[in-house]
Amino acid sequence: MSQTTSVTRYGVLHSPWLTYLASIVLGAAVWETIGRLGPKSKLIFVPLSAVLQSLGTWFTKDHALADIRTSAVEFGIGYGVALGVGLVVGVILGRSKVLNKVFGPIVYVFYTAPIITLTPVIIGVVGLNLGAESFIIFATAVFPMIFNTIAGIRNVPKDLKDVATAFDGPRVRRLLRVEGPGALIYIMVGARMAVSRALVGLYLAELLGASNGIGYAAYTAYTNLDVPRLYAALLVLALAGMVITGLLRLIEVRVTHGVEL
Amino acid sequence: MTSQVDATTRSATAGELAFSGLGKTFGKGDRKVVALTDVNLTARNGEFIAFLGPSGCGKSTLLRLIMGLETVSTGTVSVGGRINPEPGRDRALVFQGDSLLPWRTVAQNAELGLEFAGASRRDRRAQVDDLLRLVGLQDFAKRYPHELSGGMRQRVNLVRALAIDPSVLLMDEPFGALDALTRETMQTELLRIWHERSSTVCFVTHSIEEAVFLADRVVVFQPRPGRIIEDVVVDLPRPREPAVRRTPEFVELAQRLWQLLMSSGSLGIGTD
Repeated sequence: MSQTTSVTRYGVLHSPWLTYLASIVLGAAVWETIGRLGPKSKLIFVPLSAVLQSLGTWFTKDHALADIRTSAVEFGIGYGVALGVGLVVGVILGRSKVLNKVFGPIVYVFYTAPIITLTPVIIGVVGLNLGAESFIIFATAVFPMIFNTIAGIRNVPKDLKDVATAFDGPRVRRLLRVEGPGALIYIMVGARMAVSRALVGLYLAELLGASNGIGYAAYTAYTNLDVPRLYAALLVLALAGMVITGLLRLIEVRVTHGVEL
Repeated sequence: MTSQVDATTRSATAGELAFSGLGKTFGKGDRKVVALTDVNLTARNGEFIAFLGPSGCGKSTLLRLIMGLETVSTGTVSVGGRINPEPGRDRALVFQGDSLLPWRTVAQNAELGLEFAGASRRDRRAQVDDLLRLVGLQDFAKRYPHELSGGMRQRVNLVRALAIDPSVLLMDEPFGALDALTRETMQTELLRIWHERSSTVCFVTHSIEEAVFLADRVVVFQPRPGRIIEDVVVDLPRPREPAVRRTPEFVELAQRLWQLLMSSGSLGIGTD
């Protein structure tokens, strides 16, 4: 490195993008090495280079963009509605002691139970279509959202709630100005948990009843023993998860101005 | 409810307080704690009253009852003729901790009450800018609470309450956590602001000196159960300068209050 830069030897590590990049490069190197030296059977693990190559052909020959578009639409509808519904239901239950007592345990049951097991039932009822897939994603994502929103609203510091009460805030303004931001950390945890659950939901929904999509591509690759393509699909899902959580983080910073609550 | 922003609309009795047989009990059965019992007191509009006593004698509870943050167990609180009122912007509470919203700037925190009242952005800014200047925080309007010192945060807490121009200003040991010098400055500032307005002030403190310096009347409390044992008039002339603390009248009053607290046996066993 040039000695004229003002960056100190360790200062360069303070850039979040550089550390991010470094960890990706490191991860890639480890993957490649294990892939080359590790299990002989290419049905278990393949080097990153083979995965990237398969990713390339998926895009050039096997309509990856159509798969991604299909999954993105399903995910967008299912996850988006889950965020909205989860937020509204969570706020209502979180603010009412009585409603929370009545419905809280039910939410908890559905929050811990793997909703995903109901997938065949949902497909049976709704049929094999975009609606069914979106609904499965919604059903897996909505409960962590409700659960964490309730926790967030109930855990807003008492003195801040007192401030809102003492200054006689109208209900909606109190919610938007005090309780909402005060609950935001929990709500964001819920939104992030919902992302990973919704991605599982997406995979399973497409596995059982789709003719395209990322999950469908992964499943087809699996049945064809095309392991590199399977990992390529996983890579795309992981990347999607990262992008979505990154966007959530942007929202969080915008509301809290990066202040630790 | 109409906005309390305009001081001229306030009636001459809006700041009158009256407590009659007032009591507050927390919990039930074996866990029952009598926080406050048989409080009888009246305050004229614009009067400055200090609630003095050791920790755990119900002073803060009394403020929360006036504010409507707690429900009355026995007796009544009357604010401007209204019995046991709900929380409202005719009263404002300066919280013991600063209780600022950490995600809002100084100006945004100070504007909260006005925002709840539905005041326009321009009115809010104008009102809050003046008050921030008054307490020397005009250059910190865009900062966040975590960037300020404890004394500065407490001033924002005060400005937030003053901004809605309450008929009754309730202050819960607002300067308790400040260093001595900042504390004295804030006391002098508070008196100056109070002279410009006509708010009734209820000021909770456990400092005898602070009570005598600020108040027209010092109401002395005793714990377990919390109750009033004496109501002492402070007839020191106003406006009061910091030097008043060294006058014989001041020292004599402080001495008398100290003896009251001692003889009531309320000191030295404070656990709270």
